[in-house]
Amino acid sequence: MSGTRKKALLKVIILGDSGVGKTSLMNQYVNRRFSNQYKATIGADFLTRDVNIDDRTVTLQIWDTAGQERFQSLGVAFYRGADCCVLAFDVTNAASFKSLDSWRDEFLIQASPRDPDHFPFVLLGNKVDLESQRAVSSKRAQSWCQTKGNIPYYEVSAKEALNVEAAFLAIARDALARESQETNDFPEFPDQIRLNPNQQNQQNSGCNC
Amino acid sequence: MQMFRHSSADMWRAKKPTLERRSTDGRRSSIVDWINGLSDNNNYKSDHWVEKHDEGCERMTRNGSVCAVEESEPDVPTQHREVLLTKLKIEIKNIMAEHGAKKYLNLNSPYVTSLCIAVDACIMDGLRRRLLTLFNSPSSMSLLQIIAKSNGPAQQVLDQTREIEELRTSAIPVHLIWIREALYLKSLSTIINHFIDSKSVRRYYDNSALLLDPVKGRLVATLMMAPCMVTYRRMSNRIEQEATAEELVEGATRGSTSTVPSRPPLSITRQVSSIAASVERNGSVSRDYVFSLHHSCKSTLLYGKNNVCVAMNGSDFAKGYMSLQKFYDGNLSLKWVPNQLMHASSQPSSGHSNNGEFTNIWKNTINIEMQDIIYIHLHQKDEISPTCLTFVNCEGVQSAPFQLPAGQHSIAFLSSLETGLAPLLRLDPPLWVGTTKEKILPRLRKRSTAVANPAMLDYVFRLVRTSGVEPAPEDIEDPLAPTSHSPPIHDNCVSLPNSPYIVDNVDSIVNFQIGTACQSMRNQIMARAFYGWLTYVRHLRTIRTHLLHLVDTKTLICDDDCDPVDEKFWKQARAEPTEENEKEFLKRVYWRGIEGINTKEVRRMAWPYLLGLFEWNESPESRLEQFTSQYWQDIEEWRVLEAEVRRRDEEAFRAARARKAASPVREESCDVFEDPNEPTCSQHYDRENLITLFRANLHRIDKDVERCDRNLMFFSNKDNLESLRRVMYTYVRRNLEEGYTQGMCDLLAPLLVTFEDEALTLECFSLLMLRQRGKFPQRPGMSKCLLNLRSLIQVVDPQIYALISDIDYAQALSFAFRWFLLDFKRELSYECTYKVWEVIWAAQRLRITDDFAIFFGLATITNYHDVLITNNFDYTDMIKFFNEMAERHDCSRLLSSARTHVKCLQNLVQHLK
Repeated sequence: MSGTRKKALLKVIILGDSGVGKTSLMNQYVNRRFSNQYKATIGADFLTRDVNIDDRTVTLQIWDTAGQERFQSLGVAFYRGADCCVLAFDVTNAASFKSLDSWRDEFLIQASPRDPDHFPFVLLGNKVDLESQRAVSSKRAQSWCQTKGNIPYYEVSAKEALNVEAAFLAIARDALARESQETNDFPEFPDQIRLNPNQQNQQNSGCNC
Repeated sequence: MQMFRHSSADMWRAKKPTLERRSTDGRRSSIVDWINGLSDNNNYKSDHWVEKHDEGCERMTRNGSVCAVEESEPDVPTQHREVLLTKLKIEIKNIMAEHGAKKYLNLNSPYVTSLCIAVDACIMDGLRRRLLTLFNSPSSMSLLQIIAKSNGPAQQVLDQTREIEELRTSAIPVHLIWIREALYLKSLSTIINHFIDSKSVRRYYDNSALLLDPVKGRLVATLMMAPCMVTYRRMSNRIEQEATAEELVEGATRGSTSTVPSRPPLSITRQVSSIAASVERNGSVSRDYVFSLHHSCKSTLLYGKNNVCVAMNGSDFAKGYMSLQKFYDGNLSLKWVPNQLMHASSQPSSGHSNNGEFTNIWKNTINIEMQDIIYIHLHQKDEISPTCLTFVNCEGVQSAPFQLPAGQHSIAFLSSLETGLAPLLRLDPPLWVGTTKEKILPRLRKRSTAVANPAMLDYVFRLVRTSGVEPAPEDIEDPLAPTSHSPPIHDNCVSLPNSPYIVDNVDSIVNFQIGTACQSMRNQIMARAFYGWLTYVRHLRTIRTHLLHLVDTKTLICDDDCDPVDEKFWKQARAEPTEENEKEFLKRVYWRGIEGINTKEVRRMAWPYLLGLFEWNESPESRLEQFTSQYWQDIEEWRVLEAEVRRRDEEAFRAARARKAASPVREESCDVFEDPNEPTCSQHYDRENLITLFRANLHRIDKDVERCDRNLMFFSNKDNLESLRRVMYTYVRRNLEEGYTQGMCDLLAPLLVTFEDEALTLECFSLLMLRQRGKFPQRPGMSKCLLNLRSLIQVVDPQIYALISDIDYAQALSFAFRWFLLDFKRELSYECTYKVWEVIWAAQRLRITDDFAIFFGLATITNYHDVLITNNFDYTDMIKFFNEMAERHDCSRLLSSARTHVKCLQNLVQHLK
């Protein structure tokens, strides 16, 4: 609210079947804690966290949506303007891996990014702490990533905080790289005129009119 | 504005010599900047007293600078002290700005540390360090130790500082800790005052020390009052987090103590006022009052001068700020406020300290209406001595003499006055225009008595009407005036009092201008009335088209003084299941809910009636048996399916494991999407279909049952989770086409907790789902809900509507999606959920409204009006805010507010019909 530095805001959407751990991943990354009390996400929620990337402070706005495909119509409103899409699946649940395709397609259709072939996706295989129940091998996930244009793949565990930090940092880098690329393609006006209503209020506050 | 067209250039030229001298001095940078800034800025009259936020702190600290304008050359220590003070003011300004944005400050933040450094520098100025080496360290801390024995707050600060020092966790240098702690304990100002007063401290200082300076020393202490009012919090050095929802709510309630907390509900009169939304601002009252003395929207500042001396109580002189203002009605008024009051008003806290003294100072303010004045006396000993101005009103009473500094100040004032008086009044004799087009005092023929003292300059100006009508009788004569009471008019003077040309011209100008003003006022009034009417009509149209069917006016019940339903009433009502008793029961539930002891038992019995499972005149026993047998029968049936599903799950898992273990070569060649369990058999197509469908649903249910309200005691018991799962399976088996949707578990759980009877729970849940099903995905109910909510907001709270109206409603109100899907189950605690659900069901049974939840949602939004508006929330902020507020709402307040909204809409709709 009162920051003077100009911060970049990166919008990240987490998609995946219900129960793969989207809420846990988001909370582990932002609040650095895991809870087994999360309920099924209804509607949408987001958390933000500031990260420093190459001397730049970037605010990641991570959106968590409901996992059941029926709720997609609601999530669509939040897809727009996304800078990166995180696809998550549960390595102990083969079905959640299979639906990745439809999540990806649905996202590309609804968000309609400018360059769908190079839109940054990241794949997270969650719950690797449950190795004994694993049903999707890392190889299988990686080969899927290759067919989708070399999507980066991370095996993570929200519960054990394994690899989560690294994965989201990579996500931020990816999105940021793409963003700067885009601004090079379409340079914005050098001096933006900012009409900030808050500032106006402040200025007026001393006057009795 | 008019005045500027004529004389601003002259005024500035007149001021220039003084200004330049000051700026070459290299000190008082603040006031020079300030004045130069004004000369750059044509709007100076309106900005004069407004703090210029964007231009740094110099403007802000105007008051401190004003008092110290002196005409002597400064020496190096003085300059140094100025620098210290300026730094201190900058830091205070920063900290106050930060506080304004954050509501509280982190004690470890750099703002606080910088302030501590600035304060330390002020205290260390002029300190004889050699003497202090008696103590361990020559720091300001030693002073604290000196006074700690005799001063309570100082001792407290000292104790706390030692504690912190021992911990060694502080983020700031050791010698600054005590300043920070004094800030935290809000006693820094007191302690600095104590330094100044304490003899034992004073002897450590040089005579030229900042703290020993009679004005500036106290100024440091007074300046510290504002940062002492700030709320500090000890926080870790971690990244500062954004304000949480709770803090926002807290901040809003703190800020709005003087405004009415709950907004008036739907009403006809309100809507008119919505276009002229009055913005209430809470500020320091005294500060505003001082400002109002000099500056208001009704007046134009013509002239302002600081450090004008006025004689008080005979010989005492007090400095103050003098201003001349012109009001829109043409009246001029001269105001003077003593400097003490100006400083006091800039320190929000100082009003508390010595009220008595301030009331006395308030009395000293001077306000002179120029229309009452007929003579102005101007005395000046010689060119370099100050000028004295005295005003004599039509009753012959003199004002206290105003002493303006030497130079061109008096002429600047008189020329502003002359311009301000036009066109109705003028000065007699008029000021002359000098050779360089600047105004000069008229050269008058002096009487012989004046020749004895040729250096003495004395003038008497008369205020006369331009039309020639004398405001006062001729014979008033001031005995003090050494010159003639009616000075002879010079030949060059053209503005003859009785010139008919002037009278005509001025009258027509005045008439024309008044006419235009009236016309524009008339237009504005018409426009305002029209827009008010238009808004009102729009709101009525919204109601007519969207909200007409939301409430039923046939059952207007306005009986809110009934008792709640308790065990006793329930038994009475059930003993005689008449229609009146049912009405009474529903009415009580709607207005007061179910209360008293053993509410769980009453709920268990009453809910099936509220949901319409049983007729009022029917007793439940026989049907309960039927439900139970049907329920277990269904379970038997799906158990077979479940077994099949589990077998397939096992198979699929084994296949996946096998594939994982298989050789990498094989894996790369195989289709990664291949599913070994795809139903390929066509013989038992129906059964296959059934099992596939059921299987998908079971998986979803399993996932949600596992994580359903795990924090609740009831569900920490695995058996209860199993019950939940069984009921859910049975429901889905019965409604396989509809299937399981996330959220159903949330609706089911409170029912199961209440009934603790699976069969009854299932029956009630089925009825509840009939109500809620429409709002689930892929049905139109939710958009209808959100649209209705939007229309209601539009009518009830136009300010919030302005926040949400510019984007698509589904997105703007997406925070309300979960509210309506689950009838606020996730937003409230279990106990509150029960209460809200009961009212929702009763409202439907009473045919008051089919969807009370919308009104409850409206109440939830309007309840946080202040938070939403002051923070100017967009839809993402709202999502975050309401998600964070989950289970923290004041349920009974929201309920009564929602009932009021319903009542108002009913009244409106009835009027419309």
